Amino acid sequence: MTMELKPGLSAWWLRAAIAVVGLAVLGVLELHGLGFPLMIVFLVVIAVTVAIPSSPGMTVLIGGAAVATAFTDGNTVSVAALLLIPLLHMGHVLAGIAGVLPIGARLHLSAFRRPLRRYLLIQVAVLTLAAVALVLPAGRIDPIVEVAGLLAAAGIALVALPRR
Amino acid sequence: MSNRAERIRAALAGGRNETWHGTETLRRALLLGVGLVVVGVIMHLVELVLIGAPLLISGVLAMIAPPAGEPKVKVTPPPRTAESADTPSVVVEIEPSENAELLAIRLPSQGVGGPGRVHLLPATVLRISAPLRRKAWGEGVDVRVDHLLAGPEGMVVHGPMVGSDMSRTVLPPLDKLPVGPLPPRPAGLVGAHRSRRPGDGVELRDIRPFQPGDRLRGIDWRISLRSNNNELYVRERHATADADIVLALDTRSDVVPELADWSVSLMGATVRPGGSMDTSVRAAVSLAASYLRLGDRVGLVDLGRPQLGLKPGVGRRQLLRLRNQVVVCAAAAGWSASPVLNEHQVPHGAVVVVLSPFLDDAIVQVAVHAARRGNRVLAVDVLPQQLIADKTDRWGEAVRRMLLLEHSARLTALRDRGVAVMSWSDGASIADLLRRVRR
Repeated sequence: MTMELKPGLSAWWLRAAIAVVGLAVLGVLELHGLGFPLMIVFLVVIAVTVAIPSSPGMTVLIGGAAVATAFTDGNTVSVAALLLIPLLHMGHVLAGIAGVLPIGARLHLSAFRRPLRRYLLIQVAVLTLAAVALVLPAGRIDPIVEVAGLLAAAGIALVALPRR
Repeated sequence: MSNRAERIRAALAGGRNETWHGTETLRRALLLGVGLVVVGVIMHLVELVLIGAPLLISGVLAMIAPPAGEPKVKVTPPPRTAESADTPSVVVEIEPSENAELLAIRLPSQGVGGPGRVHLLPATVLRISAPLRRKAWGEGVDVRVDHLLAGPEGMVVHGPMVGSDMSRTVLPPLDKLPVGPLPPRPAGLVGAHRSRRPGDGVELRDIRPFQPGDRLRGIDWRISLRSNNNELYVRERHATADADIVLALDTRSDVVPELADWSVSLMGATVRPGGSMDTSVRAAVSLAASYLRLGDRVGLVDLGRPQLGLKPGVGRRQLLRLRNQVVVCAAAAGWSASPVLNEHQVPHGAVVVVLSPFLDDAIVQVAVHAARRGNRVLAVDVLPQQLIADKTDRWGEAVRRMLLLEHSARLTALRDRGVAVMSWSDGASIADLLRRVRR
């Protein structure tokens, strides 16, 4: 079947969505008590990510936000962390797609159907895991279980790493 | 040295763009995913694990089922030569690789000149049809199918691959002119125009006594019977003949109504829409079509580049050849300082139509010399009707008035030397002028 090409939406909407996600992350961090100097740093990182989505800007934003949340909260799951999980994942997806497009590109919404479905499935899985983590009692875990977990994560990484 | 040669060879062959390769998104997913999960587990920070988990899962999913194979893009090109009124479309067939999810492809877009914008589409699309919008005549590229295929979330990509330019020529449009009479200088033996010599035409030339060699059917019996000298009289008619028309195109300048833009180079196009060159070319092809329809022989002379001229010829093929040639002339325009129109370019007795904005004296001299050589010369002024002064310059208005005065003086000089002058405004005035010139 032949698809008749329609004008589509401007790719600026994708960058605008990255900016919105970035600012939402910044808002969550601000509510979480992030200091003003770090806010400025995050703002610059967001600006770089919006301007050059294929740059490591989003990596810095996700890493920085995760570290800022985790190290100020301790080992319990806070509301800020629960908000950041879908936001940072969304930022990762949007930056990934925007990174392969030139600035004047046109978007066709049908292209986002499969990424959106996968995003929702992953979020359901991760938020279920978060619900389980909220239910489980906090405290030290048996070292054997920890080592087993680490080995499992290392195994996943080995499977996932590119062979070339 | 060998490494460098290999790198150059790989770059010429397309480099890593010809294979599926990871992007910053894949590195981010694996680095942050594994890093946050491992650090979170080691330091008992469940939030790090939860933030890193989506990245790790998406990275793992991308690596478990990576796109494979070489995608193929096949383009069905539109015709190389087209009319400006045509609305063709380019059809692209795609054979995407297995597990590819996104397709970024450059296709012609509405409102955008050249090869268009990149469109993000699902990789499940196998055949795309994109309409081509050609609003201006001339040479150009309107299809270049650059493309990139991407796996989930753009973590693995194939490309970007640069497509080959598909150039095309949009022929100048033909404005329909009234089939006008031509100045009385036909040169051929047969044709549609009245010739000075006697022949077998329709128009009466003379009534004279019968001479040996006259045809019997030419005898006017009524006048012969009325005559008192018992002589036979014959009706002599004018012969009809075709004419040679030479369209002399002044391609040295292309000016628009805004004087401030005269020295500004135009980006992405060879001819300014609505400018003097555009008007000249439209006028030339319209006149050519009108005269070729009558059976006349029409040729082309590029006053800026004489080697780009076209010898007079007849028929539809000549019109097509001429329309293509004016596009070539327009593309090479603007490089010559002085116009060239010598007797070798113009057949004896041909009518020369000089299309120019008449912005210098050299073009006037050329037209006058052609008239002195015995050719009937028509000057078609294509300078925009209303010139707009440069408002940023305090001398702008003075410059405009000076230009108009000089221009008017040149046209007067042409008229004084027997060259018919007209402005290219509408077909009716042209037909009227030709009629007047004929008388």
